[in-house]
Amino acid sequence: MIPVIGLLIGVLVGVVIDPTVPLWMQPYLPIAVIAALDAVFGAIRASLEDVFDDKIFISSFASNVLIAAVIVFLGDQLGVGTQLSTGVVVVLAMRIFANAAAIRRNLFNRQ
Amino acid sequence: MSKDSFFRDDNSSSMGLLSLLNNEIETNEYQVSENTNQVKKDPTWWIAVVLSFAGLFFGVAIANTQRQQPIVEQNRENLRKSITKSIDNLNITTQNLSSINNEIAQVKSLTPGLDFHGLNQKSETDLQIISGLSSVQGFGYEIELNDAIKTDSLDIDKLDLARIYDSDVQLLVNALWASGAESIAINNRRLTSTSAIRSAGDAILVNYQPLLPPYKIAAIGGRSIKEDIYQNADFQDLQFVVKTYGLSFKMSEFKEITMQATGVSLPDMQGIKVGSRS
Repeated sequence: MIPVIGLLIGVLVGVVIDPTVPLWMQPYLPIAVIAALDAVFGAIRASLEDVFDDKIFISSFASNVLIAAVIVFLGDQLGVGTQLSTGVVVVLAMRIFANAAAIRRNLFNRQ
Repeated sequence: MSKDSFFRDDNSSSMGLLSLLNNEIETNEYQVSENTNQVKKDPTWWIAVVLSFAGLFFGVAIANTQRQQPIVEQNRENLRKSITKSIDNLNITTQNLSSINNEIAQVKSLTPGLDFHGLNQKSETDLQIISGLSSVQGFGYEIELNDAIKTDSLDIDKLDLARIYDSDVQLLVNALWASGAESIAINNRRLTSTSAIRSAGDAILVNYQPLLPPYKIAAIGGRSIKEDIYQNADFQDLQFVVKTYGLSFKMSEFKEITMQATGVSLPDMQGIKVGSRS
């Protein structure tokens, strides 16, 4: 329940404050959202398997977001920003689906 | 292979990249390593923090998209207006050019013995007709081609093929030229020696302008067109396509068809002379 409340608060704050995102920063927003979702699914899976560790979680999340942002930045500089963004989103989305599958299996096994 | 794999084991080269991608993607990096004895901690608050950030980014993205929506719509509308205006200008200019070409042709026909880059008057007149620089009128035929009418008996697999393609129009036009047509127009767009019949998506473009079915292909020429065209290989191919896919084909005879001069400008003939064969 707490994570859902956190999510709703985040969405509300974003919509209400409505900050002007600089043009150069806009390609990084979807990447950040996908990276955060990847982290959340990874954490839920680790938690269900009783192997969650907060330090690893935070460091992995931060490094994944950073690496994804660097890849998109490099792509922008090389003129292939869209293609590299797509690549990052595909990889993160595959991880999300894989983690979701593991969570589902774990939940079924518990019953 | 990972137990979370989406793909079956497949060592074929086509699946190689996908299998590699699936195997190499580390999905359990958020777990504690197996050799350490770290204490399990409650992830709820961490997940809440990360989800709050995700929600914040998501909310900002929503707000930004909504703010930019009217600007995007306005830009789209401006672009639409600009395209419409340009097409109108093009049509007006084409009409003007067409009437000027007609006037030039009339003046030339009234001036006997006028030399046109070494061509005699008869050759020049023929050239003008072929290149669409003068209006033409005379006996001719009109062939109407249309997509097949959708019926229950029509196989769904064939539905996409049961419509007129640019290649069908090309076959018919080539057959008409070969059968002695002097001048051809498709939906009132006159064809010249430099005309292109292409497709873009589902639309057929003639001289890079989209046309809608039914396609009315008018040809000015003698009665021999109707006799010769049935012997033409391209026309026979078209007949086969029409029969196979149930396309609509109608040929009508007209005592007089008029085709206006096109808006094609005269090529720069400076320095070009018609030579004689050695």
